[in-house]
Amino acid sequence: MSHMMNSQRLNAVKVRMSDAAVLAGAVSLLYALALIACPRAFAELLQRIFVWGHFFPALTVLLVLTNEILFVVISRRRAQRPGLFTPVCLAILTILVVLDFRFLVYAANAHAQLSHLSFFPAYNLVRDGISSEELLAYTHLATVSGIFLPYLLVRVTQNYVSGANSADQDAKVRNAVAGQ
Amino acid sequence: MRVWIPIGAFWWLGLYAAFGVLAPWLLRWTRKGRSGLAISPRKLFRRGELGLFGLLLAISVVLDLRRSALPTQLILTSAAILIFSGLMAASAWLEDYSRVSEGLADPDHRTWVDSRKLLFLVLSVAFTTEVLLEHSAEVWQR
Repeated sequence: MSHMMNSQRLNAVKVRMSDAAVLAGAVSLLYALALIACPRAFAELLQRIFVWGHFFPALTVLLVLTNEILFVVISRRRAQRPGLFTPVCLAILTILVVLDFRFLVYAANAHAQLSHLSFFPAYNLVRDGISSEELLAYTHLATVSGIFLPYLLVRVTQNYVSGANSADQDAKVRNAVAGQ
Repeated sequence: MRVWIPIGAFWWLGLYAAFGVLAPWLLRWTRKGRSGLAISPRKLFRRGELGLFGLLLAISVVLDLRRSALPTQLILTSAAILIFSGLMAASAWLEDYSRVSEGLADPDHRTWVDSRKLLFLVLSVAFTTEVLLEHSAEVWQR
């Protein structure tokens, strides 16, 4: 049993923060370029997808696919065989990040719709829903966080686990020396 | 298709790239004759200084965000993500600094790679945030 666990530990793919950072940075730059190339059309397209209700499902599918492909690329580059645990964790973490942003966007949408009520004096601007500028900003943040944060959490967990393992090994060596 | 040029964002990017990366490199290059040391960016920033520069970049964009007319919730979310990625970039420098201060002076080649890649992330997110700020300012002016 312990042999099996040790072999699994050896096969675990070590993820580095910088692996995801490059992809997140490239996606962010592409987003900026799309906004520069067609500022009005890009904002309107996002707004239309949001109104149709396909915005967050589409974003989730895209981000999960991107993260899984990146994981396969990392494990191939390091010539390691990926297990099933890390990709599943990555997918769950990505979905959680997108759910957080979904909550934020719907809160901002509700906030904008409440501006119609006259007993909210703080709202000086009456709007039908979330503005396209806010949606643009939230989409950018969700995309970058959806790629970077899951890998960061996996990395932190791997650091913690490897630290605990090396501490265990140190303790065993110390006990063996004390026994002799 | 009308291409819109965010002059402010490009100006900001040029200013930081010039003073944060190019200026130290040029200064070192001018001193090359006297010291005779190698001047490649990899050697100049081998201790992860680019990561520290990434944190400074993130802070400057957070200050810009504070001055914008965006909703508070959005400003806080953007600032949190920028500062977080800036801190991660700075951690590359911090790791190397801790190693040196503990007496392990052997340079880790991964410090340069990590700091460079994390700076790319901070720079991209910061640039896109500046473009978004300029875009929203233009839309609200109309």
